[in-house]
Amino acid sequence: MNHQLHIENLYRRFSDDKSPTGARAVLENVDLKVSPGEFISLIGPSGCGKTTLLNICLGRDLGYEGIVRVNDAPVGFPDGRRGWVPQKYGLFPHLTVFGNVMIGLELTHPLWYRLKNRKKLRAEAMEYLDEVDLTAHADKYPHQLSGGQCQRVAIAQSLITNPDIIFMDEPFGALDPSTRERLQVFLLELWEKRKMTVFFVTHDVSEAVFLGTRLILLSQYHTDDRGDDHPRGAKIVRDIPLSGETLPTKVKGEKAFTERVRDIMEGPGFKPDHRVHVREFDLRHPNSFQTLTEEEDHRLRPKPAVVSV
Amino acid sequence: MNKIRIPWFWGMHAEPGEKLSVLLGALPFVVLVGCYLWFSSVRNQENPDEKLMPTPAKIYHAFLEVATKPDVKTGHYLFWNDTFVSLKRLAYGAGIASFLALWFGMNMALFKGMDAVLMPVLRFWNMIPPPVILPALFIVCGVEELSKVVLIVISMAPAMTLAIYSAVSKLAGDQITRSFTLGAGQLDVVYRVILPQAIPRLIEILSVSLGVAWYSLILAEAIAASSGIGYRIYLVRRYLAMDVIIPYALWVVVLGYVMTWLLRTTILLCCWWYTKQKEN
Repeated sequence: MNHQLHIENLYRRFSDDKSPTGARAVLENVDLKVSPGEFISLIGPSGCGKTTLLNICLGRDLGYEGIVRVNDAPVGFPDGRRGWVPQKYGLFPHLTVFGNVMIGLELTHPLWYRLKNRKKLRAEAMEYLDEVDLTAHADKYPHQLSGGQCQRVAIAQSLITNPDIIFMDEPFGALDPSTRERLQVFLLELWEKRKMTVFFVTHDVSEAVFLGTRLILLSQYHTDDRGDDHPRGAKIVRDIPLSGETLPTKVKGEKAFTERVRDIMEGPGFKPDHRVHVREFDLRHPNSFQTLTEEEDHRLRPKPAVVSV
Repeated sequence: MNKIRIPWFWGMHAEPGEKLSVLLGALPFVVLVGCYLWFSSVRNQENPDEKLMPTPAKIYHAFLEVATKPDVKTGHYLFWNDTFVSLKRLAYGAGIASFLALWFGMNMALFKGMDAVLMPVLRFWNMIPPPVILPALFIVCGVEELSKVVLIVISMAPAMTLAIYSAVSKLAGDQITRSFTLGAGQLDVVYRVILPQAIPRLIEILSVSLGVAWYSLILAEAIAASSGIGYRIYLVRRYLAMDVIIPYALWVVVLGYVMTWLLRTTILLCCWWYTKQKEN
């Protein structure tokens, strides 16, 4: 089956003088498969390596070990197939709102095509601005916009190049709750319309549950057969399907929703005092898989041959 | 009274206010000019041929002499001709230096390979005080216009390149990844994303570097030239002609103000997003 993203045995170590081995693993043996059209919500305690994982998928961080494939090809330097919406500073300050959306088209089309189809491209950019409801602000510069408007422009900018997969790193993290809620609905509508793959990093569990079709909890709070004191990097501790349909915001107040959120927040791996063994991870999503090493799971050790005397 | 008083001058909490600030700023000028006028009038009373501190009337007269009467030998209005010649050299020097600084600074900040090759040379070059190589320049380039322009370029370019380099390095990173994810090629990143943002910074850096440019210009003109502001000042020094030196010095200051103002206005007109953006 064709996977948008395939990660297997992924390790990311950073040098650390304090550690006896001289290195500290941030990601440790991470396995993940993503099918086209999935909306993945990635949550995890702060410092667990969410952004590191995202940087690796984007091709910004090539210091990893293991297999990372995008569209069945090894991950390369950042390119137009993978969109990116960072938490802040996504826009080019020297371009207007229109220019910021237009630049995606200008960068992906050769000059002769742009000269020939100037009107068509401009109309397309305006269409995208209309989609994010910002036509009235087309001639403004990013510094004249509010945080929510900036993020809407950044989303339009990323979508116009038609990426296969779009990585969002806490894009609504710096916004006030009401703007945030509006943008969540807006993002879901866009996703319904275009069915692109979304990889959405957030630290807000209710946002993650509300948006995603699949929830992934990345966490360093787990145990394995190496003993409790062994230093650990983060693994995917939980990988569960969420309902795929768009839900109105109201559902957030409903009992089933709040229970889901509480279940995750109080579940294993979310807090340091609630750990779970690698063999008992909650990996219910059909795409999830796990490859453990012999150290992590002693049962995988080859059994000593029984010598009969 | 239940409100504390804000001091108007003393201490870190002082707030002098707008009008008072203007007055305070004018104070040193008033004191300096006052002292000069007083000393010069005393000295001129004692000796009518006083050279060192001419009265304003004498300065004005000398200024009219160079600015409104053509020179006997060349037929030029010396003051304006000197200004024109000096500004031309300055414009060439500053223009070439800006171009080099922008291109090299930007590319070194963006391309690690270029950085590795050129950075040690640049740092080495930056250590050389320009006057040290002036004699070599005169030998290699002759004593004509070329050596003056080259001196200005050599003294401005390294520091400007380093400044552009650090400005672009700060921009880079996220913006580069962002451009690549929008489908940009490497040249797109350099010329469509980074260049427009580097230009207002270049103008700022240029206005700071103008001091160095003037310094090297006057130096080169003082040593070998046949016209120019620096040439004139060093020429009339032989006759202790303070009445010519003083208007020339004031004129250089005026030119400096005008240039700085022009550069600032350019930023405001062409890249107004830049000035606004810094406030955030």
